[in-house]
Amino acid sequence: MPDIAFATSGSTGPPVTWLRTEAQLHAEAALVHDVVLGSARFGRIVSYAPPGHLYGRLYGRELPRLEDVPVTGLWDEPLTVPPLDDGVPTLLVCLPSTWQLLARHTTALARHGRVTALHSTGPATPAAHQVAERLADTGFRAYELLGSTETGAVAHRPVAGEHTGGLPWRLLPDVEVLPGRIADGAGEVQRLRVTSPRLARRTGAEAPPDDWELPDLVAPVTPRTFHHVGRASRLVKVNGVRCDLAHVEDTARACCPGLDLVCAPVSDPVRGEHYEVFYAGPEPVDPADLRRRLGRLPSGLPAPRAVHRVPRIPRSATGKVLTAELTATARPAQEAEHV
Amino acid sequence: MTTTLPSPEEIHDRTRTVLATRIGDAFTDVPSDAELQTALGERYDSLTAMECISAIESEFGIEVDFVADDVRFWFSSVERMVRFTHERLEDTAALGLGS
Repeated sequence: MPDIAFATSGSTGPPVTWLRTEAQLHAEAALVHDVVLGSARFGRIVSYAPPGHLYGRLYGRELPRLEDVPVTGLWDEPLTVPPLDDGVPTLLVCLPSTWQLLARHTTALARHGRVTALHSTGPATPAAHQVAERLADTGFRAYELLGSTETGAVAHRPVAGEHTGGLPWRLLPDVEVLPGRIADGAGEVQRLRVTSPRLARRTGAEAPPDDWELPDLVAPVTPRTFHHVGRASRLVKVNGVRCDLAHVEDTARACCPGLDLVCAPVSDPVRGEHYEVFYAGPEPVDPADLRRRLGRLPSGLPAPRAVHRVPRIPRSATGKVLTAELTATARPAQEAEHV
Repeated sequence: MTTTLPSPEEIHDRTRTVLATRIGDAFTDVPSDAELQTALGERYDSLTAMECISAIESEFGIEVDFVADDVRFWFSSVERMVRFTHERLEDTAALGLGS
């Protein structure tokens, strides 16, 4: 069986293909089933995650095979409600956007009582926390995974209710944390650096790396738990699609010469995270023309949620973009130019 | 208690305003009878449709049932959204459920 390829596309820099052995995929699906899902027996798996990506492949294909469970693929139908009227123990493989759908059906989820939701590819949305809160005293269960295409799942935790507060992440049993780059003066926050038997092999390399440093910033709680406090890179995940804003800016500036253009991350209630473009320039640029130019961004790269024309891009004395000031000045006085 | 229903014209105008806020100026020139997916392409994908449905629910105080209502049909053009909303408001008023 040849290794299975998962591409990180061109949205985080040059396209990279990561290879996983079939044994790695089986090991991860089995591990998460045992450790996170408590070896629960499911009669149905409903997946909203596309199987071309690692997360969708693991829980929409590998886990159903391992457990001999029928799977319903709804990755192309994000508005389709999962079957909730027959009481079959069900695993929902969720993307950030799935929770808007589930939030509309908490009564049916509560009545069903045997639904488990697995969440990954981006931060849990406010709707996810609402659902967890409303269904806290029912048979509904929800868990989230933290990881990457390069590492696979690294850690897990229950999806917290709205008023529960951020629960610490717990490492999966086969993952070890190594000292990561320190991200603050006190030395408590560091990049999440891990090693495990499930690291992917970069195409062209003979073996996986010994360890891998994720862009995630973590604050250790115990040797095997931590809080996630942010990302060191300018990565956002638009409904699970990775998007490096520095790369977007480089690409956008190349197709929009003469403009001072920056991307700012924003939270998105449906997609978890998104980004908006702010631009200024000596010549007035027609927003429609700018949209057309941005439309030529590499395929697979999510288009910005909105484009704002601003008088200037605010920067500190050292040239750092003052994102908070930028986003504050753009709203609500200036209407967003959506793309 | 008498509830005054908004006219189809008012529903139309408010719906267009709601959609313009969500979709942006690209929506301005889209005719009300046009298929939004065809006219807007990726700018009216399923997730944007979900956002628009939520916004219309909030604007008119109605609820859309993703199981019983054919959301792909009713939320594919402005005209259909107006018909759906008007009928839902009429039903709500007839049942005495309106505020």
